[in-house]
Amino acid sequence: MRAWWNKNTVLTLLLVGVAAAILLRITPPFVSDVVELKIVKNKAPISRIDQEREPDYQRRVWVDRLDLFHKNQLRHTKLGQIGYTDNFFIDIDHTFEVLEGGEYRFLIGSDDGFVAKIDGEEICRFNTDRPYRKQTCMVELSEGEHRFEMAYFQGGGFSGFSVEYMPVGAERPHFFGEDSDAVQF
Amino acid sequence: MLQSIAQTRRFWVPALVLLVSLLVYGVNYGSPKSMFWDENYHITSGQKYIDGTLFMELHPPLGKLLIGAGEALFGGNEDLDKRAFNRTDYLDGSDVPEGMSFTGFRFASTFLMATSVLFFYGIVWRITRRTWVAAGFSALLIFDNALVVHSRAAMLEGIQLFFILAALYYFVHILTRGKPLRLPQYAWLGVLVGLVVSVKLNGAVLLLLFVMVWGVDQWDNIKAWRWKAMLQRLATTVPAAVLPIIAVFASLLYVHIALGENIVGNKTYKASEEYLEEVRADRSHSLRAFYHGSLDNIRYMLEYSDGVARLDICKPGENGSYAIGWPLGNKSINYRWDKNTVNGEVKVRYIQIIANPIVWFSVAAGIVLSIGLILSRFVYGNPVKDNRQFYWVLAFTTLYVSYMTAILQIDRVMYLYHYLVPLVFGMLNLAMVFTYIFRDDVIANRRHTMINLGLFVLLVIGVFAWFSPFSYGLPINEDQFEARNWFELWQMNVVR
Repeated sequence: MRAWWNKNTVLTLLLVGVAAAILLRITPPFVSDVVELKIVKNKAPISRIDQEREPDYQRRVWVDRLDLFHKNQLRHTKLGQIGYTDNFFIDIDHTFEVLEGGEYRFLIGSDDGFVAKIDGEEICRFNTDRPYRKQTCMVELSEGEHRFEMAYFQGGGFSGFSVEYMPVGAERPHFFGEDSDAVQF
Repeated sequence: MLQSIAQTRRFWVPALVLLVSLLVYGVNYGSPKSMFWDENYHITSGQKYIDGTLFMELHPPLGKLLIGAGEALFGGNEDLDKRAFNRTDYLDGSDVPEGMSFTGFRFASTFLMATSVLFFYGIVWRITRRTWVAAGFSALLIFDNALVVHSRAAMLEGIQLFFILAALYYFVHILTRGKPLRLPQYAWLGVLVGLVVSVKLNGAVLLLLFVMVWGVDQWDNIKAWRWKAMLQRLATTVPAAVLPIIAVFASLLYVHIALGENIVGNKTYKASEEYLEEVRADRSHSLRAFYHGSLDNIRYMLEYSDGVARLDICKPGENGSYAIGWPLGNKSINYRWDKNTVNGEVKVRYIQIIANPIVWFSVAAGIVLSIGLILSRFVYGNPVKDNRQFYWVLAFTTLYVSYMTAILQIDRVMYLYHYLVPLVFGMLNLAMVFTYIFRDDVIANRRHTMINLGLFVLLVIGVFAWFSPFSYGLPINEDQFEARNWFELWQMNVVR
């Protein structure tokens, strides 16, 4: 056996292995900045998406995709909890590029309400509070750039939302923020 | 200059270790400025000693006497109205006078625990004769999150561990000093063990030390099976050891009874009429009061102990846990939390007993390795490479296994902090196993082995720092909590 391979070497490797595992465990999660969320805490309780806002304070968070309903909370799988506990709005204003024109299906889930627009035209909404539910919103999109706007609110209790898209006839949906053959962000 | 530093390292290294320990345990130990866990009982008891109020309690008096002494010496609460403390055994937070400082009540536990690292250092040093091994393994005692959070409180375990480590140090001292064992050594060890059981009765596990000392003392007679000589020695060593234990326990019980001069709120704890008669006649210090008071106190302890609930893991919020899960940190207890929302972000200050996984898992691994070593020697008849070191491994493993075996027989609900005593046995055992495995390298002061121990200590300190928000009550948000929730078996619950 080589001189360097001994009990001390084994212990060193063990310690380095444990240290590496710990570093891996505690390294803060990172996702690419694709979609910006503007989170606005409201002074008053919120019960409708279209009620008058009374902003208290706000912050901005970048996420890679709009997949933000986990454990009955507004959570990202890697970033953890996003937003405040209650009574806040989230605004999204994002431009995306359609590579293949045609009819698109948007699956928007929310707890509580939301309103979504494309190129200034409302495609879907749910005004009041509710448990997490998805609804389908159909829209005709031409090839080229489009503007997606969404406002979401959380009153109290459980929270979260998600936005998925798929061209009609496609095999599976993608989360908004995930590039596909049909759409790029 | 360098030579001078090297020559005096025997003194400055333990001094440095003590300084670090005092900083880690002592910094801002008056926080939180509210009671948590059993402080509601022990602070009440400590104040009763100060005010001369009669009371009885589950645990023997020494720990609470020292908690009271800390308050009397360093409390700074003299101007506050603490009369409510005397009317109850469990002080409600709302009965704590505004602005009360906790530094006095927590003083004994915090600083005795911090100082006990010197005994720990001394034990490892006396056995290994290596400063770097002693200093390295002392880091386990200093940087364990569970020990730190639990000792920085007016609770009994920090105080008891001080006396346990003192007794262990004396045990190691008399076995390593190279002189024959005489009766005074049994007696002094008896005094120290007496102090341990006068804090909490679970310290009775240290009675095994007498068996070990006697085994070393009589090794030649045991090997030759000279039973007459052994019996003769037993006839003197047993009284030499047991009488000091009884004397210490009884003396402290006397102090407890003598201090109970006043009956407040008709709380008599079902005391006998003879005892109450003495107290009412201002003779709580009389021998008659001591006799009847002792019987009443012991009866109360037994009745109280019988009345403690059993573990019910189906009960919502059950903090108790099975002893079998303790070595891996099951289950953590949230002693106290304070929630604050700043700019919409919820931050919580947790005071929570949680294992430093590097320390606890290493201790568990050390016990597994030790048991393997002991089995290989006694079951498979494999030779040992260092007899002396092997017997130290055997001694500390025996203490650990005996404590855990005894605990497993107890029906009442038990908590993770009941593992702190065997944890310290396990830390010492880990130092012994390390020295056994790396025997030649330790003797030769091999640099690679030193670096490995240094790396281990860095890991211990790093992980301690990572979990320190739970030990010092530093505010963290939910994501920071989840980042520290490493194992499901710890059963930690976030506060939202």
